[in-house]
Amino acid sequence: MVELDLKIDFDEEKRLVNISGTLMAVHCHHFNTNLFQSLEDAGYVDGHEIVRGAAEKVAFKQFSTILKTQNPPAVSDKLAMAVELFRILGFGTIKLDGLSDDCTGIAISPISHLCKGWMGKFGKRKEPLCFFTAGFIQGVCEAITGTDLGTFKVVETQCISVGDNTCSFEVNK
Amino acid sequence: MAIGPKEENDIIKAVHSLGIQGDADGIIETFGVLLTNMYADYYNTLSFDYEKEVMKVAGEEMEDICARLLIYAAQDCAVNTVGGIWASPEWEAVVQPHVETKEDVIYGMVAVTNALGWGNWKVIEVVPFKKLVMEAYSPYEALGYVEKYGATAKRGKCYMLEGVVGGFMDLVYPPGTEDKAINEVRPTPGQKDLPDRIENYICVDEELCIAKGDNHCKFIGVPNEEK
Repeated sequence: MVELDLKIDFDEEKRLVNISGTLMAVHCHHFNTNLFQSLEDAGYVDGHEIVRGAAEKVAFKQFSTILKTQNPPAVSDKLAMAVELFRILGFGTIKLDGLSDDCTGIAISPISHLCKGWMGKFGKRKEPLCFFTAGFIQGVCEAITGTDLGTFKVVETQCISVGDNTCSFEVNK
Repeated sequence: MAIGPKEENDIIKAVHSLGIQGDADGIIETFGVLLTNMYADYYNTLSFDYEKEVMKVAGEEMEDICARLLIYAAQDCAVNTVGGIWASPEWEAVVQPHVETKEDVIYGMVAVTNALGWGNWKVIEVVPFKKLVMEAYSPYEALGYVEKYGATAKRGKCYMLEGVVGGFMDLVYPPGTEDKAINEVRPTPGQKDLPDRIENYICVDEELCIAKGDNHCKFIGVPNEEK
């Protein structure tokens, strides 16, 4: 088991937090769910794809940076690092051991910050919620396989926010 | 005892010592809310790609409507999260010893939020129940906008901070509490009616913004005449 070694830096003058090459900001479920709702309800645009694409880009960037300094040979170890990153950042838990060495397969998220936050604030949904998690998985899979953004497509097939026991994702190229 | 630079640095260190990271379930439940260490550019993409896509389809006049929604998201966050922070035992231990007036509460809130990676900002002027002027020097929103689009914005782009300015005033100066002491206004842990305080104040358009080419950002919170 490879232990994830995050580089955390706080710029005293600018008051900015950098975790492994990426600017981060602490925010709550009210902000995260309100933003998602604004995009989802916008009507004029595909808010889900904006969320997914945004998450994919930032996860790809950060995880690529992490792999530059900590790059175990086994894909399973890299996936375990991504699982740990997801947990540490407060996004919930994911299981990526259902992915093969080419990073396709089934991913599970038994606990989701967004689902917990959404249900606490707005209640149960009719449609899956976790476009952020889908984008995160896409980004880390692309970083691990050394492929371009847009290579992976992750679709959520079950979601806690609609009443399922876990969130489940099909991960394909 | 007021909150100056030394006290602010102590508060920031104290917030960082809380170790804001996920527990075994990947959840950060503190201050009565669920927190995340989120990517700044994730928020920037959601805000700026969203408004640009909407404007492309529905016209430039949609910029202010998009801004209003994004600002509301932050004001709701501020009232709930910063309200939770103000009610917390951590505030009691770290910030409360420096608080004598309602204005000190605002300075304390700014000190705490300066630990969260939002960028450096500070209070310029507080007129109780009337006005809150703040300046930001490195907000992640304006920096992210400039990195992606240059300093080309026609209006301020720090939607999150605009909402938080209104949220600070909502929390500290609820209408009708002019004669009440601080502790009568201070929320209690888990207080459910905090959302009732929202949008009694608003931040009028961000007067200066790095995204517009200014060298810092400036916010003015005032009573919401529409409410």
